[in-house]
Amino acid sequence: MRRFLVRRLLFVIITFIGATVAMFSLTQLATDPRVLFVPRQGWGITQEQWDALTVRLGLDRPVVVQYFSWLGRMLKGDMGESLSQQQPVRQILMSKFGATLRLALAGWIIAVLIGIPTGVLAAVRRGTVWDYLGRSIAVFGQAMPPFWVGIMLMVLFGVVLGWLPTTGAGRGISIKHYILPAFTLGWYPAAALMRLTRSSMLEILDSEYVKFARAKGMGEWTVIWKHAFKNALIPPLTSSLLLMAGFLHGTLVVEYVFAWPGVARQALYYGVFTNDFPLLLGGVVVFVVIFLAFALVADIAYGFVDPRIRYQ
Amino acid sequence: MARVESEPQIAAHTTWMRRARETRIALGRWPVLPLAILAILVAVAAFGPLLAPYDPTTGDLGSRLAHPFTPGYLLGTDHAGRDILSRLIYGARISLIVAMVSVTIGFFVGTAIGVVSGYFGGVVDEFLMRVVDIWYSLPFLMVALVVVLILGQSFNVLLALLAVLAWAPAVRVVRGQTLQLKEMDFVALARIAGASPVRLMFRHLFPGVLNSAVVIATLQVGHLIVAEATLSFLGAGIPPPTPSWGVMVSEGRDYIATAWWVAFFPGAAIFLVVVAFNFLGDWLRDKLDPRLRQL
Repeated sequence: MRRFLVRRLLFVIITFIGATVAMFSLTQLATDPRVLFVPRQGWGITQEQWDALTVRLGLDRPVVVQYFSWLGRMLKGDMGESLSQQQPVRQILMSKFGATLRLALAGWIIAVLIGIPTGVLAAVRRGTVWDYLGRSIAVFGQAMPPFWVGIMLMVLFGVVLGWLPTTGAGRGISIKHYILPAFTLGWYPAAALMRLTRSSMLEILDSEYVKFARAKGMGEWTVIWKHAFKNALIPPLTSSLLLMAGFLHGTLVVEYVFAWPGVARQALYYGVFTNDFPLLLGGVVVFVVIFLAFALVADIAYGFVDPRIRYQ
Repeated sequence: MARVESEPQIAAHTTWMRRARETRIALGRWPVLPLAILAILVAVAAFGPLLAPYDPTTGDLGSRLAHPFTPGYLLGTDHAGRDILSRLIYGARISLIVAMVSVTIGFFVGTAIGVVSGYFGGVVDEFLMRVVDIWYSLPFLMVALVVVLILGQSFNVLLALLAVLAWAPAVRVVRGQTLQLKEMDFVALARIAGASPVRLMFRHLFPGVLNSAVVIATLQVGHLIVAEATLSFLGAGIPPPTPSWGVMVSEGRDYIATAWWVAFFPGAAIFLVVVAFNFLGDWLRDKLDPRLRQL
């Protein structure tokens, strides 16, 4: 177990370094960040100002040095200052991150609430209309592009029925504002979770101990929920941790569609288009760290639950 | 008497049924509907200019946002008065080319890396697998946006990005299968017979992993079409006014309060095509490599 943990942690560190190097190199290749300070092709800026800017942004040093000094400062919690907003990156990310996290959590809840019960139902009523219905929803659901689902939900519930607001997060925590974005975000993972729960449940229902529980005369309800369900839940729950990580990637599209005041749209999307590289790097680091953390927890949880996996 | 007469009829009926059933089992059940959708898609993409009633990029400003079933405009028009049906037809070409080219590149690159990684093992394998891990941990859309910012918004950049998206899943599966295959006797015998590593990988291992790679590639097409549409939707894919389905949805987003059809039809087209590809992929998987069911 200890070797497994050490190995996994080492992988996380290597992946983190690789991912940040990749991102850092990409932003270096992007357009010159100095241009951001220059109003239209160098008008109104002297050579001295230009050189001072170069020094201030640290662009006069070799790229490798720039990377390591950035990494060192980042590990101390200093992500630098945003070029376009003149604010510390950490402050910008933290102010926007809550909305993204709440949206991801809401999406996760929706995915679990839809995916797991329908998966169990499809497995228990295998071969019936319920199974067929559940599986078709999963297959069709996975084929719908999320941005389109979001827009169609807006049309239906926002425009035609007028029940729900179509944009923004509202004031405070407004459940009404969360419904459509969370559903859009959770829709695709719900389908994946449903398939996973179904196959896991089918496997368990076929096992000896479930047959024994039935043979000794236990009620169907007890067999399914108390004996089978608990064990069948392991794969879907561990992979839903990965889904949670995937949500943070998926939020970009959902935040864009619903004009959500979250980190992906308000910090990163605009960061890309203004080549605000400190902001962009900071944001990507946060996303990568969260993804790696969830992947690590999912891996350890798997290893903990099923010791066979550890030795592979 | 009537009963006696009917007997040969029953016999004929049953032999006909049996024969039909035998052929059906031999062929498996063909995914007729998905294949039909894809055939229509390919035909539309190939003969688009002949089929489209209007030019996809010039609109009639006199008939902006016309409803579906308006005479002359079967699926209505968008904010610039461009015929949605014509734009869908031209968009089919874009979607199909982008998905096919990127999946082909991804298929060859991914399979090659997977076989090399599995065959050599050790440091090579470790390195390549870490690259795949790093790739999975990066938020793809962010990376794609940055790359588009650097290289500019163009068709070739989009193809390259999607090809990069397509290779990673193939690597993992192909590598796993190569690991199993290379322990088999026929590989050892080929090595004894003096086959070079390149020959071993190309002639002996590659055919063994081909089925899985084809299945993975087919199942990838749907994802790639959605990814292309998403990038175009976010303004980092096909540059407008070229009619891409993602761009069309994006343009329709601004008019949802008054004209739902502008965003609805391109999304529905994506949905239909992706469903068709997914069904085809599932069918191929069951035929060629049922082990991949877990995916």
